[in-house]
Amino acid sequence: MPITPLLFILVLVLVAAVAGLLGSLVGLGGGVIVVPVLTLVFHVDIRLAVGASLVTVIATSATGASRLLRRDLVHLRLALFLAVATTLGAITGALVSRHVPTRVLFVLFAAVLGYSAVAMLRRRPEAAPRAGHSDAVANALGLNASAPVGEGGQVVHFEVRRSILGLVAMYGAGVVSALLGIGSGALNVPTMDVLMGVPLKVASATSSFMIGLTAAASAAIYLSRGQIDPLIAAPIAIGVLGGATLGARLLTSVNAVVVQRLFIVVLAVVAIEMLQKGFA
Amino acid sequence: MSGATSRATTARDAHRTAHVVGRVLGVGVSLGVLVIVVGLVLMLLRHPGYTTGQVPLHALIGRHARFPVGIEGLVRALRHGSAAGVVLLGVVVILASPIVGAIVAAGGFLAARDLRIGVIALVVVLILLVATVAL
Repeated sequence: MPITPLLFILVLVLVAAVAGLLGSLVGLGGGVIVVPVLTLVFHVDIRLAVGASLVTVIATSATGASRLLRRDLVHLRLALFLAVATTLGAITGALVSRHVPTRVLFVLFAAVLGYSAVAMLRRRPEAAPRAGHSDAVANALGLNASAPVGEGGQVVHFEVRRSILGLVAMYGAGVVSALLGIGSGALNVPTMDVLMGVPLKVASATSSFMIGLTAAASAAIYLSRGQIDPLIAAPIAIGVLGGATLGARLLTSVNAVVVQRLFIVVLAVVAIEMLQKGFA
Repeated sequence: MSGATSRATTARDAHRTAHVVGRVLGVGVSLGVLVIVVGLVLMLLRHPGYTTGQVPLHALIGRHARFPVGIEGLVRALRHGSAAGVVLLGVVVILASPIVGAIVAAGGFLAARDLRIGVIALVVVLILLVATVAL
């Protein structure tokens, strides 16, 4: 039976809702599932899939960041400072993507999925910020801050370090985000947490705000190039948003470890499929 | 989030700016999704072939699919009352939300005379506008 456009829209909303639900339960955006589903199941051109995914990334980022900004968990000054690099990286990635062979995009996507699965396996619980002294840039821009991320909401002071190195790493994260249509939170968070000394909870919240800014830069270029098909982007944005909203509500009532293991298996399977497509 | 070394921006100013940016993002996405839903309903009502299968799927999502391209294409589609144009308008509203958020953040920091971070926010806005208009 041929798939009608209506059925396609309904299936996309449903698949995207599952992706958004799973993604929000494990702290990853829906993009890592949406792009493989569009390319492997519906045989959509990977560049159209990336364009649609970027819209989804912006929608989920904006929704999450809206809540986190009002809870005072986003480090807005740091986000804007690092967004200079991520948006420039996103523009570079969007401009370069046209010249990158499709096979390379599939292999790169598989590599990022594999990395995300390993990072999830090795995820450590929230720890106190590592001791260290802030650098001159952080001091000049007032990036050292306090946030209610200690035990029982206790306010913890932290100093931001290696600001310039952080900028360089974020530029790379922006390029990857634009090439693959993913939020690249898996790259942003460790950069802020491990490299720059930002507490994990603040790094996650700050990343969720930056992801939207980054994706907006590349999505604008994809839009002007005709690589955002409204019939693909719209149902996915609605589905992922609905799934992510439901996921945020279910967060406390599901077994996080089981969901996380399930997601790691999904990531591994999808990574192998994308790799096969890349080398086919 | 309060900056310990910020001289000009008080914690209250920063909190207020973050709060307004958060509200802008939330409203932007909600509005975008609403417009998308209206556009999709219009599309299905105007094109019965979408539900019966008379319009093949590959004509809409394939390599040679025809849909409004860029801001110019969006304006043209809306002038012609195209439902696909309405859907794309919703997508563009979502896409614009973080850009408006960055503009609000820049305004908030500059109004609080926190010039360094205000200028950095303006640079981010400029980069986003260049990506939207010039590339």
